[in-house]
This record gives sequence, structure tokens and C-alpha cells, in this order.
Amino acid sequence: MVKNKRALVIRTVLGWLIAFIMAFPVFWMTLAAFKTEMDAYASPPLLVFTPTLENFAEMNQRVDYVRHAWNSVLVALGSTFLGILIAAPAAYVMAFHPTKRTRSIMLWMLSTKFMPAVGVLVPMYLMLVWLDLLDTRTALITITLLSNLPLVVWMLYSYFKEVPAEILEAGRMDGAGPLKQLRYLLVPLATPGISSTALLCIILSWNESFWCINVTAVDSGTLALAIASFSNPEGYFWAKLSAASLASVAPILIFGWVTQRQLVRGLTFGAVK
Amino acid sequence: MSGVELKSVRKNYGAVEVIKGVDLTVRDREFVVFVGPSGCGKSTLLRMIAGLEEITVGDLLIDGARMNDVSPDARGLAMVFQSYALYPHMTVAGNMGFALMLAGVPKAERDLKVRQAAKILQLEALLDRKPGQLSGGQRQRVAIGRAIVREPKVFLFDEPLSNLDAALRVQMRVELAKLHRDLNATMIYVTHDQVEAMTMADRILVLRAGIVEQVGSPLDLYNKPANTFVAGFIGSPKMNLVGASVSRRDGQTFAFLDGGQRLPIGDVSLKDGAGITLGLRPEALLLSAGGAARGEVSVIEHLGGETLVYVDIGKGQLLTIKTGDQQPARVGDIVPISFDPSRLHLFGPDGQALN
Amino acid sequence: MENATAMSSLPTGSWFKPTRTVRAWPLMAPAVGLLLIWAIVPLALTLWYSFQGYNLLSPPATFVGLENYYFLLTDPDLPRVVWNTLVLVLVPLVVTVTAGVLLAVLYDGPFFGRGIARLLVIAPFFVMPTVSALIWKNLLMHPVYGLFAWLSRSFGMQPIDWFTNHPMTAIIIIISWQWIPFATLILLTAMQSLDREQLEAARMDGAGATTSFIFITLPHLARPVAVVVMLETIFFLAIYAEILVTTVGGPGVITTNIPFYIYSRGLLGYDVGVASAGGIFAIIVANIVAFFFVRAIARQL
Ligand SMILES: Nc1ncnc2c1ncn2[C@@H]1O[C@H](COP(=O)(O)OP(=O)(O)O)[C@@H](O)[C@H]1O
Ligand SMILES: [Mg+2]
Repeated sequence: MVKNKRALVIRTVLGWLIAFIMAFPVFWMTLAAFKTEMDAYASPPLLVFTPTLENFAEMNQRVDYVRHAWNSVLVALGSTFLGILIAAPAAYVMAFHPTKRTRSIMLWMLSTKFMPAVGVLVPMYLMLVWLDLLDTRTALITITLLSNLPLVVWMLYSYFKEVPAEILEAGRMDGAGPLKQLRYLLVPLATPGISSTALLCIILSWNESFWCINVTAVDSGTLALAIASFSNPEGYFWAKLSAASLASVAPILIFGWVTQRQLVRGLTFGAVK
Repeated sequence: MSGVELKSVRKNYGAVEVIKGVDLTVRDREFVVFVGPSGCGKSTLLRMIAGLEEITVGDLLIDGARMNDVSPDARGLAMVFQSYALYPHMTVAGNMGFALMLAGVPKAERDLKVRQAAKILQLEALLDRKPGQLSGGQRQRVAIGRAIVREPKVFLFDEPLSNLDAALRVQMRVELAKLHRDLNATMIYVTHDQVEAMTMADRILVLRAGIVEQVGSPLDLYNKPANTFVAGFIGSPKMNLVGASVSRRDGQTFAFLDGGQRLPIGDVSLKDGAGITLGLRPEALLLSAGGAARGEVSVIEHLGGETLVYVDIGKGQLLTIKTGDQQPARVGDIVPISFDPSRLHLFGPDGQALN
Repeated sequence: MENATAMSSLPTGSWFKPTRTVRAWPLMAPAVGLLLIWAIVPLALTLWYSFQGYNLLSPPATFVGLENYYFLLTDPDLPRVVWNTLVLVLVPLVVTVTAGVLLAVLYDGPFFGRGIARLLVIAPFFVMPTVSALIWKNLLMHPVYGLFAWLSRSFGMQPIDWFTNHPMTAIIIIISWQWIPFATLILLTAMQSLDREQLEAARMDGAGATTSFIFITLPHLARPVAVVVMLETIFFLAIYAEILVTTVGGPGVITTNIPFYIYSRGLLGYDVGVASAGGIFAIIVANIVAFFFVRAIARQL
């Protein structure tokens, strides 16, 4: 018992210490967001200071926060919703009516994730120019959706696999075709899995930086783009940078924290039963 | 008329053939049981009838119409699965009414039918529960209820009782038999348990490794097993099967048991020295003098109403003998064994019944 | 990739026959079709442009054969760039998986406020790459005003100028910080699915904490580790934003990986031809990595 108690104390100390270290950059950024620029650069660093909201106002002026945030939301939700809509029927077939080729198709899908985006940036860019889709949300949603699609198919596949095939067969005997099996049986039964898939998708597209930096601008740029514009500014800008960062990270961070239980299942990618 | 007809039906999974040509006619209102050891293809055969597995070769006819390419729900069948396969997110009423809902039956009519089925199965009080809140026996009923509501031409059951405890299984067996009578429906029932088959079936189909070994009424199978497999599978305790060889002397035919003893048998059209198998049900053997053979009692099992005596007749060959006596002998006794020659089964070298 | 070895959770081909009763293709078509287009059209275009001399500033395009590839492959920086790419995949992989295993063990046991501590640990995962790179570069690692510089000075040490003297290490730190939570989360979930009875049985058999960790816990984590490695490899091969906002590939090409190389050589110069040749090169490298990784790892899935 004494030994257990000591283990508990060590665990608690170590657990909190590491938690503190991991979260520290975010914490430090949060503090800086409420400092004046002078305070932000102060040495020794200030833990106690008079908070200000000035940075947020200035930041909004400079990058039009609301517009970018709205784009982030639309792109994340749009690509996630469409992705699941497209992936679910395919995952259903793969899980319940597999053929000889199913395995190869799934591996091939995953292999498309290994295609480096930068490798195909030029033609994508040119295609968007030809289609007159440069700097549109449609383009960004489509690209995000496609780049997440293999993961979505895989995750849905692994969650669908957990639903007993006999239940769907009973549905078939009762007269439910594939789409009705999906709608009335599979979707309700795999809701936890589907929502964790959706959560992961939302987070990935919220944080997607490569495509948004390269194919969007003022019209359809997301928060990731807004932040990138802070990479080489002049003068004192840490407080404003922190404010902008906080404003872009906070929504998804809170979202992630609130949904973390669901999310964790999604992250395991079906590797943990 | 709701007959089901299978015409040289085969099933392949890739290169492996699991159903190797089955012919069967299930008559209207008949209760047919497919029985066989686990893995012999019973479920596969049933699922082919249901439409859940494609038929590789052969024809399936229901009411005379070819059904091979008809979708499962359009075949007029209902199936009760081994795991029940209830929809866990729907209430009992929802489960039972799902097929009707999909078929576009108006809500009022649907409710009525669900209620009627629930009444038959005494499920009325449970209609608003979810399957997770039910006991095994209740789930079983819901699964049956789901089938009843659809008013199918043919009911299919895949080992529906195997997840229940022994007492409940006996009770459900009786109820299913009663249901069959009340509904006047054709039923095809799969089980690995020969007791279920014997007690419920009008006719039994014995399957082994995808091949039909015998089809017949329970008593036919018991009295005239077509081969050693059926002989050993049907009946409990198992029929004694004893290896022997034919020998003729003084115009009489004998079987030389592998254990060294000699029994007179009726004439068979086999050469001297041919290997045969003698089949004797434990209940056909008597521990009485004047017997044809003798052996040493090695184990006695008391079941109360009956007693099983295992007698060693040489070379480790045990015969099971069933008797009503509670104290027929003691372990270690040398006992004489006799039997009614008319209850002796003879199987040829190929395992098929002789004569 | 197609012939990667058996994935046990996947159907093994010959077992299954297509069932005529369910028409599968209409349901598969949207996903497969879109991915086919996504995989083939841009690739074909990239291949096409890689044989063109095409600068957006001086069109039109002309066929130049292998010139772009020649330019690329004779670039003395290329070996370094490929090396950097591999380092930026392998080192963070080792760091995050090791840390992930240790943290998973730590956070699997009960302690006071574990729920909240766990929330804090996973926070970096939600921070977008541009933000985390900017925060680390400025607020933390800045050689004069950064918090680390102040810490060094308070201990009487010379502050480290991370991005001048140890740029690769700095980037690896940032990437690892972002991805440790991912590994931890997956492995933690895996730990929690570990059969407690198995551990208890091991204890009955006289296994100590270390022994049961090595013989029971670690093998149990093999599958989830495979998943972590595979997904992280996908993301690490494509690292871009972190470099863009911190070192811009420098000093020199010391922190340039293949994606960033293509970006700086091709795109910054509007040279579509060279960028495309680089793209093909990147795809080949990625597939070589994928070939080795996925083959080894698919076995675990
Ligand atoms: N989808 C399948 N693919 C390959 N073989 C199968 C498949 N389903 C069943 N089998 C094989 O077919 C045989 C019969 O199975 P089944 O009909 O389930 O047996 P039973 O119900 O009599 O126990 C078994 O040997 C089984 O391994
Ligand atoms: Mg079966």
C-alpha cells in the first residue's frame, strides 16, 4: 500500500509536469495575446501584467478574422460532410460485400495519401486557373475532401466492420436495399464511429495549411492562411501574432477538448478494438 | 401451396465446394430440419434458400417459380438468425414492424400486425423496450415475431435455440412446434442437435460435408439409417458401431468381431472376409444370458430413469447398453449380452446399409 | 503498394465471391472515381510539364526532353535535400513513438486530475502547423527575446540561436511537439483496451512491472504503433508549413526537404517545368518510402 501511494505521488507529479510542458507553448501564446507589444518583448518575461484586448482589434483589421474564420468553418464542415457522404457507401460495400479486388482498392486508396501534395501543386494550380476556381471555397473544399477521402473510407470501413453482418442481412430479408441498410441500420449503429471520423476530418481540414496557402487568397482563405501572413512582418508584432494565433486555434482546440472522447476512437483508425 | 424445391444445388467459395449437389422438395406446411455436424454447410444451404448467398449451380424453386436471382425480400421468406440479429437501436415494435415500414404499409395497419404477432408470442408488455433490455428468451421471441409479422410463405431458422440455456431450449422447442401447427406455415430449420431434429421435424435432412446423407422422417432415420454416419448421428446415446468381417460356415453366415467374438447374422451378398460394420442401438442390447457375446463391465452411468453400461468386448471395443434396471451389474463383472436380431443394422465396406 | 502483404483485418481475396444480389459498383463509384481522377489527372499533367520548358513569366511551353530532370538531378544540393527529407521523417517518428509509449504508460495509471492533465497533453495536436511554428520560432526560441534565451541567461549560459545554429533540431522539436499527442492518444486508447486479466495472470506468474511491460504491453501496442507510424509518415513526408514560416529552408539548404525544395526552386521562380520534374521526383521518393513502410506495416493492420 505504501509502495502504491508513492507510485501515485510520482505519477501525479510526473503526469502534471509533462502536461504542463506540453501545453506550455499554447499557454504562453495565450498570455502574449493579452499583452501589449512592449510587455510581450519584456525581459524577464512577464507573468503578471495588465491585459488588453487591443491586439484582437488590430489583428482583425489586418487579416479580417471573421471572413477567414467563416471560410475555415465552411471548408471544414463542407469537406467533412461531403467526404462522409461519398465514403460511406464505398465503405459499406467494402465491409459487407467484399470482392477479390476490395483489398487492393483499399490499399491503393491509402497509397494516394503518399502522393506529396507539392508534387502535383503546379497542375492543380493550372487546372484551377482553367476552371476559374482559383481562390474559391469550392476548390478548397474539393481538394480537402479528396485528400481526406482515403482516411475517411478506411475509418468508416473499420467501424462498419464492427457491426454484425447478420443485422444487415436481417435488414436485407426485411426488404432493405443497400441505401436503406445504410440509412436505417448502419448509420444509426455506427454513429459513434462516424462522428469520430467526422471530428478527425474537421480538425485535419481546419489545420490544413499547404493547399490553402497555395491556392487561396483573400476570398476563400482560411485561418491557416491568415496566420501564414504573420511569418515575416516588420516591427514588434508578437502580441498581435499571438492574438491571431489564439483566435485561430481556440475554436478547434475547444472543439477538440470537448469532443476528445469521441475523437480518440477516431484517431485509432480502427487499430484498437 | 408454399413448397421449396432444390435441384442439384451447389455452392463454391472460390475453389472450395461446400454444398455438393443437394436435391430436396419441401412440401407445403412441412417442418423440415437440416441437421449435421458443425461446418457441414447447413447454414450455407439455408442462406442460399434465403437469398443471402448466391447459388453457384442448380435451381431453387419456391411455389414452382425459379428464385435464384430474386432478391431475398421478394422470395416470401422470413429468417430467424442464430444471433437473432435484432436491430439494437429500435424498439421491439420497431424491430417487428421494420419490414412493413420498408414495404410502405400504413402505420395503423403496421401497428395492428405487430400487436397481433406480439400477442401470439406474449410480447405485448415489451413492445417499447430495446433488445438490450430483454432476456435471451425474449430476444428469441422478438426474432420470431419479426418473422411472423411478415406473414411469409416459408420460415427459415438457423440454429435459433443454440444461444439459450438447456431448460429454455426445451421450452422453446415445444413452443416452436406449437407455432408451426398454429401458423400452418412451411418451416425449414437448421440445427446441429439431433434431439431438436428428432423432436420437431416432419422430415430430417442429414448433411455431411455438403453431401446429403439421408432424408426421411425421424423414425425412418432412427429405424433405417442409410449409412454408418446417419446411424451414429441420429439417436442418443449413439448407436454402437462394431467392425467385423464376414465368414461363412456350415451354410451359416457369421460376423467375426474385431474383438474376436463371433455372431450369427442373416445372409449378406458379400464375399468371405469382407469388412462390415454392425450397428446396435444401446436400447436394443440386453444384459441377459443366452447371449451371443460377453464382455467385462468397465463403466456404469446412472441417469436415474435409465442406466448406461459400458461393456468391453475385447481389444478395447466398448459397447453401450441402455437398460431400465438401476443395478444391472457391477464394474468388473463379466456379463452376457444379447440382442434382438431384427434390430441389428449391417453396413457394408462402403459404410452403406446392407439390404 | 497493391501487393502489400496480408492485412488480417481485410478480406483475403479468394474467400469471397461477388454476390450478384448486391450491385456494388454504383456505391463504390463516387469514391473510387473521384480518387482516380485525383490520383491520375494531376499526375499525368505533372509528368507532361516535367518534359516542358515552361516558365509562367515567359510562356509558351516548349518540349525540352529530360532537361528539367537533368537540372534537378545534377543539382549539388539534391542529396542534402533528400537526406533532410528522410531525417525529418525518421527522427520525429522515433521521438514521437517513444514518447507516445512512455506517456501512454504514464497516463494509463490513475492519478489526481488525470483527465485534465490528459487534455493539456493533447492540446498541441489541435494547433495548426503554421501557428505552432510561429509560436516556437518567436515566443520561445528567439535568440534575444525568446523565453528559452531568458532561461539560458538566468542560468548564466549563452542563449542558443536555434534557427541559425541548430535549425534542423529546432524544426524536429516543433514537429515532435505537434505529433507526440497523436501517438500518445492512440497508444493510450490501445493500453486501455489491454486485457487486465492478462496482466494479472502475468503477475501471478511472477512477472515484475518491467517484464510484463516488455512481454505483454509492448506486443499489444504493435498494431497501434504501426498505425501511428504509417499516418505520421504520410504527414512527415509532406512537411512544408513548418519550414516555410521558420527557416524558409535555410540557412542554405540545411532545412530544405523535398516539398520545400520544389517550392523554392520551381514555384518561387515560376518555373513550372522544374517544379514538375521535382514533383515527379517527390512522388518517386514517397513511393519508395511507402513501399518499404507500408509493406512492413500493412502486415500489422
Ligand atoms: N464466406 C465463406 N467463405 C468461405 N468459406 C465459407 C464461407 N462461409 C462458410 N464457409 C465454409 O463453408 C462450410 C460450411 O459452413 P456453414 O454452412 O456455416 O456450416 P454449418 O452452418 O453447417 O456449421 C464451412 O467449412 C465454412 O468454413
Ligand atoms: Mg451454422
